[in-house]
Amino acid sequence: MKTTITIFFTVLFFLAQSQESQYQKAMQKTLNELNQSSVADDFISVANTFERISQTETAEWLPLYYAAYAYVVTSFEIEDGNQKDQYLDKAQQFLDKAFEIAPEESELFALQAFLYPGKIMVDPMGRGPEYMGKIYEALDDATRLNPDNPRPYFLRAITTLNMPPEFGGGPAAAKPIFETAKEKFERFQPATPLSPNWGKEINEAELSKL
Amino acid sequence: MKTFLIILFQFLIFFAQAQVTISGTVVTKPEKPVSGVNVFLQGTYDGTTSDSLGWFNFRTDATGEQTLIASCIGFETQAIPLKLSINISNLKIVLVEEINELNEVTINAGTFEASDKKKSVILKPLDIALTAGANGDIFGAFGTLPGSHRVGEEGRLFVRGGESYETKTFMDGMLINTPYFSKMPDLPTRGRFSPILFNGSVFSTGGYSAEFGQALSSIVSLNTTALEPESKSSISLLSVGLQGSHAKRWDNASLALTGEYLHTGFSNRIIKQNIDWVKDPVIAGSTLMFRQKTSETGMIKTFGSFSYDASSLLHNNFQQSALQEISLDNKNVYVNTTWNEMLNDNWLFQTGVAINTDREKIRPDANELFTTRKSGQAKFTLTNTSLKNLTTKTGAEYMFYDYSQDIRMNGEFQLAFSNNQYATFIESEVKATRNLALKAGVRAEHHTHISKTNAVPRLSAAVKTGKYSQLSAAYGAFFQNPADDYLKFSSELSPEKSTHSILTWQFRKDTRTLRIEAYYKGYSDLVKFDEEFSLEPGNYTNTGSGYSRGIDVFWRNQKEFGKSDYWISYSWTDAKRNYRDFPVQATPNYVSEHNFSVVYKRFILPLNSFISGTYSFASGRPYFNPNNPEFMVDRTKTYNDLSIGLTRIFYLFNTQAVAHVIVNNVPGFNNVFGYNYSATPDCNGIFQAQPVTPAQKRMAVFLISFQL
Repeated sequence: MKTTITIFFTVLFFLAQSQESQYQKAMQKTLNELNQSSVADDFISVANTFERISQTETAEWLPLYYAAYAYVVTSFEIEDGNQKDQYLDKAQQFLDKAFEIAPEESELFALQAFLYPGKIMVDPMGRGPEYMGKIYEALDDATRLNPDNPRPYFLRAITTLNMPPEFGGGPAAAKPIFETAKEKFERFQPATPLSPNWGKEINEAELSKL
Repeated sequence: MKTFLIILFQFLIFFAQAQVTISGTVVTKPEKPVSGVNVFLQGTYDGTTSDSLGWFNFRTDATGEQTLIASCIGFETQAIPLKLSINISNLKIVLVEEINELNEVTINAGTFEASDKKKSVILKPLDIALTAGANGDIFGAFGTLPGSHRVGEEGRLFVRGGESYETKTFMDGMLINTPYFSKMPDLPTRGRFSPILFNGSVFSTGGYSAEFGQALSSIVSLNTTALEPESKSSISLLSVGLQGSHAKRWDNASLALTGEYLHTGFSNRIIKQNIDWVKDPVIAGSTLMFRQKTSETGMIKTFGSFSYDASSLLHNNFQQSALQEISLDNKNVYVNTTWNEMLNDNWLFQTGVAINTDREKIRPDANELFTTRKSGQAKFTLTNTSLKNLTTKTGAEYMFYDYSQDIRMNGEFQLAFSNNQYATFIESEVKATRNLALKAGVRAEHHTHISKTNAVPRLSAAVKTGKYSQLSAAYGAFFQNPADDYLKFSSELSPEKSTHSILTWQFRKDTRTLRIEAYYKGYSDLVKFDEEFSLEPGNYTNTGSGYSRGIDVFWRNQKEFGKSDYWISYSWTDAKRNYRDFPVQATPNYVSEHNFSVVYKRFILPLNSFISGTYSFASGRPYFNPNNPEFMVDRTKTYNDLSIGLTRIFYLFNTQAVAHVIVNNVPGFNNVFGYNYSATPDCNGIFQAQPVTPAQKRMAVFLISFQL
C-alpha cells in the first residue's frame, strides 16, 4: 500500500514536474537547434518553434526574443530589399510583443540595435540618417538598463567598425570597444540557462581581425 | 488501495495515451509547395515547419476539437478546425497570398511616383535629387523619364507632344502657378523649389485624377516633408553662391528656414560663355516651412517662399539683325497652408489655401514689359473609406487669377484680364476583385472670364495579368484655358481641349521593373491666329487641332545599395498640330521623335562617394526654315549629352561635410536647339540662319556643404 502511494505520488510529482519544465525543455531543445542552424531554412524552422512556444507562454519574453533574433539573422541572407523588409518587419512584430512583456529588458534593446542595421541596408541613403540615430538610442538604453550586458558593446563596436574613419569609425576606433565587449563577455553570466548568451565568439573573431 | 490503483492507472493511461500524427502538404494556388510554413495546433507547442516540398508531419497529445494554424510570411494565415482521434494524413492546406503594397493591383497608367514610404513606387525622392544632368531640379529629373521631350533652350517640362504650359505643378494639392524662374529668350530656366523640400512626388504624363484640372498634358504633384526629424543647421558654398538652412524641432511642431544667394559672375568668368552677359544672373530667395501636428492623424503645414531673380544680356536679335540689351527681373511670392485631419476611421478631411504673386519686368533696350500675375486658391477635399475596397474622394475649389501687363513700346498699353474658377470633382476607386481595380471620376469647372462651364470624365482601371505583371488603362478628357498671351488679347476664346487614352503594361519582379506604355492624345479647340500680338477682333480663334501618339518604355534595375542602379527610358513620339500661325498641320519645334536616356547611380562604399551619370539622346527637332517652301520639315542634328555628378561625404573640423560636383556635357557635344532666321533675305534672296545653342558648351557647378 505504502509503496503504491509512494509510486502514485512519485508519478504525480513527475508529471507535474514535467508539465512545469515543458517550457524549459522545449526552449532548451530549440536553443540547441538555433545554435546548430546555418541556413535560412533552419532559422525559419527555429523561429517557427519559438513562435509556437510564445503563443502558449504569453508571459515569457524569451520565445519572442529568439523568434525575432532568428528572423533578423535570416534577413542577413536575403538580397532582395523588399523581402528583407518583410523578415525584419516580422522580427519587429515579435520584438514589439516582447517589449510589452518586459519593457525594461536590456537584451531587447540590444536586439533592437541588432535589427536596425538590416533596415538601413535596404535603403541606406533614405533610411540611414533616421536609423543611425535609433541604433545609438537603443544601444544607450541597453547599456543603461544593464551595464554588464556585453551585447550592446559588441554591437556598438561593429557599428563603429563599419563607419568610415571620417565619421569617427573604422578599425582603430572600434578596437577599444571590442576589447571592452570582450571583458564584459568574459564576466557575463546569463541569468538563466535560457537567457541570451550570444556574441562572444563573433566578438573575438572580429577582434582578432583588427 | 484498489481505488488508488485504478486512479493511478487511469492517470498513466491518460498520459500514455497514443499520440496522433498529423501530416500533409501546404500549397498555394496554383498548386506550388510552400516551405517554411509554421503548421501547429493552436494553444499547444505541437507543430512543425513545412519542408521544401511543402510537406509537414508532427505528433501531438491533443485530442478532440482543435484548430490547426498555418502561417507564413507573405500569406494569409489559415485556421482549420480538426477533430483529433486518429492519425490525419494527406491533409492539404491551401494558402492565399497576402495582398501587400508590392503585389496589389495599382492603377498606374500614365503615372510615375516617387516616395519614401510606399514600396510599390519606381523612384525614391533621392533619385530625383541626385540625378546627374538634372542639376538638382525636379523638372530636370522628370525630364529623364519617358514621356518628356528634351528641349534644351527651355528647361521646362514638355510632355508627350504638349507645350510646357500644358503641365501644371501642385504642392500638397495646391497649385503653384509660377513653378519656374523667369526665362531669357533661348536660354533654359529651372524650377524654383528644391527637391529636398519634398518626400514624395507624382509625375503624371496623362490620364490623371479628376482632382486636378486646367492641364492639357500633365501634372506634377509634390508632397512636402512632414516634421523635421531634428534641429540642425547647414551652410553650403557653391561655385555660384551661398545657401544656408536652419531647422528647429519641437515635440509636435517644426520650423525650417532656408536662404540662398546665387550669383553666376565668378562661374561665368571661368566657364566660357556663348552669351554676352551685361549683368550676370542673380537669384536671391528664402523659404519657410512650418509644421504643427494637430492630433495623432492631423497636421497643419505652412510653406512660404520669396524669390528674386535678375539678369541682363546682349541678345543677338537675328530676326531684326540688331544687338539688343535685354534685362529681366522677377519677384515671386508663394504661400500655402494646408490642413489634413482624419475625422474618424472613415473620413479624411483636407483643406488648403494658396496665394502667388509674380512680378516680372522685361526690358528689351528702352522698352519695357511689366507683367503681374496674381492667383489665389481655396480648396477642400473629403475622402471616405467606410466601405471595404471602395475609396471615394470629393472636393471643391475656388481660384482667382489676375493678369496684367503694362507695355511701354512705342507708346503705353495695358493688357489685363481676370478669371474666377469654380471647380468640383468626385472620384471613386473600387477594388472589384483581388486582381481588378476600377476608378471613375468627373470634374466640373466654371470660368467667369470665358463664361464656360464644362464637365469631363476620367476613367481608369488596372488588372493583374500575372504574379508580377499588370495591365492598366486610362481615359480622360481635359480642358485648359488658353495661355495668358492669347487671353490678354481676346476674351472670345474657349478652353482648349485634349483627350487621353493610355494603355500600360508593367512587369515588376524583385529589383527589376519594365514598363511599356502606348498612348493617343487628341487635341481640339487649340488657339489659332493670323498674326501674333494683335488686338484685331477675330484674330484669335479656337480652330486649331492636333494629335500626339507614342510609345514609352522604362526599364529599371535597382540593385541593393553599393551596387549599380540604373534606369533606361525611351520614348517614341509622333505629334502634329495645326495651331498658332501654322499654315498646315506639322510637328511643333519642341517635339523630337526619339528620346532616350540612361541614368546610372552607384554608391561606392569604401570611398563614401556617390557617382551618377546621365546620357541623353534626342533625335533632331523640327525648325522653321523660310528658305524651304515646305513648312517645318527641316530637322536639327541630334542632341547628345553626358552629365556626371560626384558626391563625397567626409568629415572636416569635426563636422559632417558633403562635396558635390556636377559637370554637364562632359564630352563637349555641340548641341543645336534650332535656328533663328533673319526677317529679310540677303542680296541672294536667302534668309540667313543663326543656330540656337546652349549658354555654355560644358557647365560645371561645385558645392561644399557643412552640417553645423
